Amino acid sequence: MSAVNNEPSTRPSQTAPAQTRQGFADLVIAAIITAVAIYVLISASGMRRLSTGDIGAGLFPTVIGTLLLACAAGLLAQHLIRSRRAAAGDATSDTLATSSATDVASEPADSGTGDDAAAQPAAAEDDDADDRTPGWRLGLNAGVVLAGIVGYVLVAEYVGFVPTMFVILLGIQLSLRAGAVRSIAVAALLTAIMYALFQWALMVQLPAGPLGI
Amino acid sequence: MAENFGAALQLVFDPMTLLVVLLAATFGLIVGAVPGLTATLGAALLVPFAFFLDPVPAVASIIAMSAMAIFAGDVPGALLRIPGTPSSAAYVTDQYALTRQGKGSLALGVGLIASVIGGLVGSIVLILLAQVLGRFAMNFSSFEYFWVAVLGLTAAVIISSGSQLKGAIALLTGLLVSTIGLDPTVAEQRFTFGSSELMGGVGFIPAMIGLFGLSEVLRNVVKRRSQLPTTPTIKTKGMIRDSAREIVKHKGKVAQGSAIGSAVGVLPGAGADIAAWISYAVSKATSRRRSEYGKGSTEAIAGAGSANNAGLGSAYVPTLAFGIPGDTITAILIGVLLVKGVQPGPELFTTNAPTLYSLYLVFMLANILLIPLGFLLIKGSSLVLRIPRAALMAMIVAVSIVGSYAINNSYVDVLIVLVFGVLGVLFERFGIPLAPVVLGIVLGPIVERNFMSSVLLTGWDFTQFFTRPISAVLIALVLAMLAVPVIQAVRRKPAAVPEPEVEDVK
Repeated sequence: MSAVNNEPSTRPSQTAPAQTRQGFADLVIAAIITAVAIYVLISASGMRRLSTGDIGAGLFPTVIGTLLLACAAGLLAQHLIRSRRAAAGDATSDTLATSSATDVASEPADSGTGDDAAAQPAAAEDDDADDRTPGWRLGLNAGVVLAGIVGYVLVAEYVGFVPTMFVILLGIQLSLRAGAVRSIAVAALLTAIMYALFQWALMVQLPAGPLGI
Repeated sequence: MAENFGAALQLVFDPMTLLVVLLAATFGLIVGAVPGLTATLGAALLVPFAFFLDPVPAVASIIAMSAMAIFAGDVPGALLRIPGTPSSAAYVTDQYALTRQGKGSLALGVGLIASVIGGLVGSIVLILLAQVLGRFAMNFSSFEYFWVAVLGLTAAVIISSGSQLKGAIALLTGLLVSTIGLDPTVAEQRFTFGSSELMGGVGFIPAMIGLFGLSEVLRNVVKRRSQLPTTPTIKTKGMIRDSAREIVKHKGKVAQGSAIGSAVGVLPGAGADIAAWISYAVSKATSRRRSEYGKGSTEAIAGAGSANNAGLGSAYVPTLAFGIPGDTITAILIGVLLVKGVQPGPELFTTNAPTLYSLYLVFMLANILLIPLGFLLIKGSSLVLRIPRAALMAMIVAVSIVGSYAINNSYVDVLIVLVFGVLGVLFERFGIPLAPVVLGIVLGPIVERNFMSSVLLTGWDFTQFFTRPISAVLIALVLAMLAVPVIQAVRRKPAAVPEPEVEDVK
């Protein structure tokens, strides 16, 4: 939760691998921003000028593109400074590296729900089973949500709002391993509420499909 | 004035408006109470509904929802040690400690009464200050408005609690998004990729739904069940009486918190969560019982609890007076007002006075409603926190899809939700804050329009931007705002505190 991360005093100090990950992430952002900025600047240079010959539509995109390039340079500079500091730190202190390794080893234990988990031993068995869920399976949950939205765009016009929405909501719940009966009931109820609210109460023309719903 | 007030009374006490306020308030209580769902997300999900309402109920729905959500954030804080909204984070340790001592109802009851008092004080500050500043802003020309909007943009450096550089990237992303569509001077198509549906720009509503609604779903569904909290129950017998007694005992702290919250909330970009943190720090520094702070202090909850709701009301001062957002929720609200054809800023005071007075009344109403509804929430808190994750996520996806589609019957808007949802997840992953993106999208067109009309008026004479007295004051404020992170960095340097990974989104 974002809120918890606001409290600097509760945050553990960054370990060496975490710093490396952060540094790599910053480089990726810098590369993406540079690419976007170059595209924006090229596009802006071809935009129409004012009748006086002064820069017109391209002014703001040019300013934004230039500032994005500056941000990318800033990130790169930050990364280089951090790398240099880290290298200097490695050379002077072996003990620091040892303690970092200890920090990493203790990370998984700290990242759970802490007191809450300890206060609820009954939930531990379910959690153990769930903890064995592979990472790709969790990624699939996000894939189902995204596929559902793309699916709505592609088929709602031909199939209709009610069947499309029902299938999307059912799919999301099943991928989150909710019970089949409850998933069907919730999907049907939510679809009905959305249809009634938007089609009837707010007079929105939802996709009709062959069944008219 | 009396005439405007009478018209406002009619608008607010219209059965439709009251129903909308009640429904939005209930929604806000649920959103605030469920960990991970923020008041900003609630506002983003309300926007598609607000689109179909008249201006007063539309704005009322967002005000009522956010007032409830800020308090409701205390509930998971007290029960699970997970603040429902960042503004509850300051005193979460005290609330949780009280729950562990078997005094969970007292922790929440004190928070509830303090929130109501703080909220009412913030509303009064809003009424008094917005009026004065709004009248002052009537003398503004496009030069001053340009600087006011720039001042709003610099608020990004405050709301970006992590790296300022990443805050700037987020802000520039928002500004870049705001340039999509026809440009305001020569009607050139910019970054539309040949799509006629993008000529009007990227829809604010689908962008918000994606950024805060869908991205939350995408983050949540990849979590393991063991990473989700489980809930204890609390008893509410005698809660109001005991809580009221504690509030009377700590009345000085409530007054202090309300004053700090109101003052901090007025600053663009500060908002309720920063108000709560500052209030907590001041309260502790000036307390005779400071050793109790963090171990279950009702005094700490009373002070900071009143500050966050006071900050919520006063955050609307820059919104109403100048048309610049005080925080993320007011940024969304400005978007709603613009969609409804109401121009926030000094014009509100002359052309839309009944709407303005209605807004004041809604603030009062929402805070008074908080007493019964907040009490009901505390009673049913365990139930709210047990809403199954699968059903909750399905509901957010349903609202996101239908809400974005319903605005223009456009599938492009649904795709915008998708794009911004993924963008929101990636930004959070890379430690880039989301709130400045909203500022960029809202303020980008205002900055560009006022800049272009100013330079066209003066034949590109830039000195006009710097030589006007009000502009000079605004420039000084912009520079002061930009100096904040530099001063913070200098003060933090000896401690070498690492940068936070995630931004605070209310």
